[in-house]
Amino acid sequence: MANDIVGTPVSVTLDGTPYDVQADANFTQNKSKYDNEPQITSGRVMQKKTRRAQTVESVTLATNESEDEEIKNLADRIGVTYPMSYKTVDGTTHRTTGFIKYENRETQTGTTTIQMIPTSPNGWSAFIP
Amino acid sequence: MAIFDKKTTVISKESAEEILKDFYDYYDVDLSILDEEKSKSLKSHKEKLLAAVQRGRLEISRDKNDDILVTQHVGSASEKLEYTSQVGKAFLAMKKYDTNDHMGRAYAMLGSLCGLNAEAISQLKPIDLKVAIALGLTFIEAVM
Repeated sequence: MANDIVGTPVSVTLDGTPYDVQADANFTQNKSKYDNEPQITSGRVMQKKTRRAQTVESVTLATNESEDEEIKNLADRIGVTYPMSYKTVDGTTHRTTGFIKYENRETQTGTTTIQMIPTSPNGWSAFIP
Repeated sequence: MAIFDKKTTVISKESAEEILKDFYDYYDVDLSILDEEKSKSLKSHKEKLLAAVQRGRLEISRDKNDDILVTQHVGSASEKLEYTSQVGKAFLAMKKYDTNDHMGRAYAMLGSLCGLNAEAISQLKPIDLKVAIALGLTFIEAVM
């Protein structure tokens, strides 16, 4: 969907469980597959491309203790990946399979912050029905 | 070109029935012993699912844990939705919806099963949505 609407992400689904997103959430999408750097030589400048994970960071979810526990358990799960998706306010649903990194929970605001890390080689894909 | 055309029959009705039987057996749904109203409703959904299986829009298979995996090819068939059998979790996703909001609950259930969300399901094209709704309501009625 190509429109000019930006703002609060609509929702996040982790392993089939939907979560609400804080109104001021500002997801950081590391979209490109490579971190490009210049490799300086005595002559030409070469391009150094380092493969990186297409993470989505600063994913701040509104959670109660029970939801936070589910997320924590998901982060601690060993040996499996799971489906993850999030919907941006322009209506695009981004999806992938991977795992999460649990960063922290803020008791004052009831928020859990995670990173979503794809394991599929193509990273995230937009769901276009 | 899509793997199926609108009216193309990919497999026979008998084969499609056999494939679908695995799905119903997995969820222990026996239409002959359900009450008349529920059975009638599920039969109507079954006809739509049968046609979708025949046309290759819907695939029933088993995952690595031998659980049922339903794959729906949507749009031009380049997109697919894989519905796992984690219905318990999907029921929790329905809790936001009123018990009379059958469509909302079906979308939430399907969205959860395929790892997306209810809104993504609601955006499906009518031809795909018809199959999705039949599937969602079957999941709900089969398990509840």
